Amino acid sequence: MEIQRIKIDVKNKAGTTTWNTDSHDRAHITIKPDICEVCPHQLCIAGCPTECFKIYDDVMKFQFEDCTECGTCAIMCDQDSVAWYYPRGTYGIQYNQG
Amino acid sequence: MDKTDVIIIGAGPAGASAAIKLAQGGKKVVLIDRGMPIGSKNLSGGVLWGNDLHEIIPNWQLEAPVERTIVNKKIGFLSVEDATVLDLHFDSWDKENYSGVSVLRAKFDEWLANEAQKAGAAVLSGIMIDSLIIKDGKVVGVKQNDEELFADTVIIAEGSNARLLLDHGLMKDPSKHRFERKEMLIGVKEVLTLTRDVMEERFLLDENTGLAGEFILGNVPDGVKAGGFFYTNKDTLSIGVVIHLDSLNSEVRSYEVIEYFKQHPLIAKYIKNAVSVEYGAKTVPEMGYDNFPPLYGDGYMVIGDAAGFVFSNGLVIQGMNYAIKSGILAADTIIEGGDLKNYEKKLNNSYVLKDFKKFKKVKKLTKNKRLFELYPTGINNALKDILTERGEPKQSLIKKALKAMKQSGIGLFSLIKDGLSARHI
Repeated sequence: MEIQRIKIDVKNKAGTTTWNTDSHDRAHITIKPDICEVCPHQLCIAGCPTECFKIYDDVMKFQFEDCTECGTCAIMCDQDSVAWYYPRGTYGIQYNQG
Repeated sequence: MDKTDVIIIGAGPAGASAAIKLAQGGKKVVLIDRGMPIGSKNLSGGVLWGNDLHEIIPNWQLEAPVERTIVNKKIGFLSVEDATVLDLHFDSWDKENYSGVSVLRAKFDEWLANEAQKAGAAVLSGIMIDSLIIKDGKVVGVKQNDEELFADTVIIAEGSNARLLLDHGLMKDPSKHRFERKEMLIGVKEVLTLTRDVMEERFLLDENTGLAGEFILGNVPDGVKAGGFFYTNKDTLSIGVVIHLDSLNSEVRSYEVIEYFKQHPLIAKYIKNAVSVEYGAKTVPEMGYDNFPPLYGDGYMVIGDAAGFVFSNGLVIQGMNYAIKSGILAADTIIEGGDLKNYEKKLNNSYVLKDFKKFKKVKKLTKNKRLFELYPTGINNALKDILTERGEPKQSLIKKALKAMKQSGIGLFSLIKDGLSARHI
């Protein structure tokens, strides 16, 4: 049997989780869109569990607010575009269950 | 100059266990975590086999916020429509001292860090350590912004994303500045609420007993290699998937893989009417024994996930017990006042490194695409063939099973080869 492909809106799902978001100038992850533009795979998009990487008008956009701080994008990116660090203490994702 | 005996970076099970043991041994110890409250950054997808916790907190299960004692284990193979599940009911586990329990880490880790404080450790929450202070090749302290704190020994328990090890060239290959896709997995998890009554009835559980299930996912397209898990908490279910990052190279997204698991016909029945209350993700190291970072160096030791101490064989992933044990052994090393190289000796003599050495070759099996792409379907088809009455003459079971395997694309030769590599489990 053929596998039916599943598509979901993960942003809805992430809405159940709590974040204490830092200001934009303090984003803990940054990317270099020029590098992404010529990236042969853009696997950050496949890896990120909260869809923080997206192509808009042929340009890679990154949005740090929903980041789970898992570090997957920094592993998927072998082009040195993703500059990854943890957020400042107390900022970022806040698991109530874990 | 602010100086203490030991600084521990990271208050997960590894760091907090080390802090408790050190404080009990009379050492001045500072335990630092970036989460506030402690535990709010921590996530796991498994059962805690806390045998070693008894050493530092006797009868910890009576005090700790544990969810349920696991007495039922389901091991399953999921194909697109079908499932074969081995259903193990070990009620005797409930009577044993060393049984596995489900835990929710935000609560459990906060409790464990609080135990460290009670034992006499200074516990600092909400502080992100920016870097180590290294003088003449020796780790002598830690730095946050302009603040510095010094110690005789620093224990690195920063978890799976070992940024400090990478930043300071403390990996096996000092030039390594990021992890490779082939040595990491991503775990994606949800917590779902389900009333106690429904849960206990649905899963045949008593008030305090629970189940843990592990499944090989043969129903994800494009050769994505993933396992699924779920386990019962008091009034929630934790459910998630663990995905090999090097197999995520198509249109399939990590956040979709958990849906392939949840929407499988069998799993959908297990979680019917359960409502999601939290979503999260973390990486899981699978670097293997030969690629561990140096476990100690001048002035420091590495414990828990940061050291790569996570065991996986495709079905089971375990890290918390190795975390606790390595934390205790690092603490023992300091208390005994010996050389830090004794830490590695202790690890070698304990089940921690014995396990990793013994199962060195298992990675070959977990990376085997047949395990995920062909066997779940092959097993389901073979059993279905054997058990379905079609009004045809019966063939011998073995012949039938081999035929079904073959139809699912598994040759006799690879069956034998994989059987041989499965013996390492």
